[in-house]
Amino acid sequence: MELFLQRYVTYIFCGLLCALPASLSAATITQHIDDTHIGVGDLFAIVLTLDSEDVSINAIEGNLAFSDATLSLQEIRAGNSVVPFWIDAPQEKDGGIHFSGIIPGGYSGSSNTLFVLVFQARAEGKAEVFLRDGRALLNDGSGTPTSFTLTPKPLLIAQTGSGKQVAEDTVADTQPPGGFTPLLAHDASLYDGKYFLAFAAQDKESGVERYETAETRLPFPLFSQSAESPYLLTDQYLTSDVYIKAIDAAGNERTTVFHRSRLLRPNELIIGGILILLLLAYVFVRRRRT
Amino acid sequence: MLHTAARRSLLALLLLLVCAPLIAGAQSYNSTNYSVLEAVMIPGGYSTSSSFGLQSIIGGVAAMATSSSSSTFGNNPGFLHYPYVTTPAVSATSGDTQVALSWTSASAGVGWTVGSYSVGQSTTSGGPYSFSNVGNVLSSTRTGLTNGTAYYFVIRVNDALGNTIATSTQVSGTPASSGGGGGGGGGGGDTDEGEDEDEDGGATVILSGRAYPGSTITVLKDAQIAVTTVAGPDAKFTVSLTNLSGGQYTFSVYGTDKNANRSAPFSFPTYVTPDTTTTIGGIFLSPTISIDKSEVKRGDTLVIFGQSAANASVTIVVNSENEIFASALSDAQGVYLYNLDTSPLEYGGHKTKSKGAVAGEISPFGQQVGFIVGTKNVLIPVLSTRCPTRGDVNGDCKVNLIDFSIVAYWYKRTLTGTFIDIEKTMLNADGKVDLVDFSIMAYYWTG
Repeated sequence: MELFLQRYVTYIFCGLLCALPASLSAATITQHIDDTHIGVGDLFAIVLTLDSEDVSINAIEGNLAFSDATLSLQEIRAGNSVVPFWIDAPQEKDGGIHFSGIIPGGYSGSSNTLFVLVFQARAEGKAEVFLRDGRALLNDGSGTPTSFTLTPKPLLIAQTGSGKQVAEDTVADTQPPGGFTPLLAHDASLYDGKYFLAFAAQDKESGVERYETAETRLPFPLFSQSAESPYLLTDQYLTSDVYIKAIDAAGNERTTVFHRSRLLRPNELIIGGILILLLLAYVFVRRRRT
Repeated sequence: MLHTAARRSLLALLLLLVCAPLIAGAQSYNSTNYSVLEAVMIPGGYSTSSSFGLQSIIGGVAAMATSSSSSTFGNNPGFLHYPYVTTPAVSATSGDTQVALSWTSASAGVGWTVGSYSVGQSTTSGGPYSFSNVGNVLSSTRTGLTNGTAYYFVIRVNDALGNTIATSTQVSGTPASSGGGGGGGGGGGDTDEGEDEDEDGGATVILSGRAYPGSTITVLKDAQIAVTTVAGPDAKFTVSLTNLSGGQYTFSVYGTDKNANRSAPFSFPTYVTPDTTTTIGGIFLSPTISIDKSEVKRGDTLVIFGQSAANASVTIVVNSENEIFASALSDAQGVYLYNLDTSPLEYGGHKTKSKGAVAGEISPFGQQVGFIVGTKNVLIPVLSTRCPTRGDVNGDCKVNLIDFSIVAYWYKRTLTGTFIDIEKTMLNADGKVDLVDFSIMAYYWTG
């Protein structure tokens, strides 16, 4: 009995030490929902924030899933994200939400928005968003993986809703995307060494939805189909102005012009030179006759 | 009822806990002709704590932890092991009768853990401050303030026992009633002539801190270069970004020293409120670091050098089987140099890094550089420009949107042509482009 008690005391002490919370060295997605009552038919937003206080991470990817019997995904807002460059912008795919992106320089912080999901409650019952799979990589130059989790936040959808049709934090986006500077480059590893433009605009409200481009030597651009970065230039002589229009999800536009580097193309220079020579010859001949 | 023997065990245990700090009291060791074995370092003040510190010696190894609630214990052979903590950078955004504060996480190690933060508030620059513990969080909004009055704030870092282990530099904010400004109409479109300017909104962000005397400071906004400036002779810099739209931003700052070496970037994610001024102060860039040899003959000297703030105390750590700590003092130009005797190092690969401390501010550790202890000396040539060793897939000495675009093009595609070799040398050499390659690029990002 004595031995038992001695061991008992020792075990309690050791157990207390061992059972204490382990240090958090991971990335976590936290769900924030303002609405206290959600009923069938209601629209509501789940703000996903990224927490990484103890480590610096610079790349994340994941697949979120949600209870599709009770929830219907209406919108994904990724405009005001702490992730400046998406490899795959958050989008609904195979019944879930796929995303991957990088944070150059690393991210170590908490409660900064990753993206926002807007749902409509479809039916009464339990609902939740969960991380099907995902990974976060440390900002250590080697891409070392660290744990990546989503804090569960189960919801209970009531039979009757409040009739709310607009998510709480929806604000009319009237601002165009922010200014951006296209970068001209050519590299043997891409497009056979041809010139291309790299660009990325940011929109802090609804997010950049698409880009349109126009290459022209005239002052009036005619925007064509959607384009994306890297954009292979049609005019490899760089004699055209390139207009790049960033359009956000609310339809606001920001157009940036990448000005031509050269006025004339090589064949135009040759033709121009020949014309000048012909003109000079003509003038010379006229003077000789007079 | 506990048995007598059990009671005795409990009493002995409690006595041990209460007396442990006293048993391991600090002593001076001044002799030059003996070695101190089985020494224990105890941060000052812990023995007077109402709680207790837990220190012990296990087989000649100092096991250090800050409290019984710590789950991590560092085992450090030898004597010269000092706990460290970095000072946080702090941002202040003024609002109507309030100032929103946020700060970077202080990193601590070798015996210290961050337990909580306290916000110090004063209406007088330099204090005295009234402190309130806000817990282990990275933001706090100070409310009930008087509009038009300047308030000054510092953030104290507390360890697990509540002792202050670091204090940030001061930032200020002047609350003002909302309204005014308002950022103009919306809708429609804007056309820029190639310049990167946010013409809408009207928020201002001011970043200030220490780098190296006369160094080039580059500020990135959402990973793209927003502005560059030059630090003063005292290594201090202040940069303003104006006319920003409201929203979530990540600001990064890095310095380039006189030898064209870049510092590790300092990154600060923050929410910018429209028509307000956000001040981010207390940035202390980690020192740059270089070595004179990529391989050093065991027993020869390896020169470790770089730049920090002027007259800073620079701590150099060599990560080998047994960690080696050394210190050097930077000169008026911020240049430091340390001759490392490689005799105690094992053959093989090692890494070294450094951090600076001046005027009560402590920088984080900077980037690591690796070297080999072998049988010959291989000198590293002095270069006027230094390109990122990885991530720079187009070879323009930058890692930026162009490299991202090229790598994004090859994402989930079969690599062909010259990109096969580029992926081998500049990315992770696994024959494909995935998230790891992007992570490497993000680490070496220059904007």
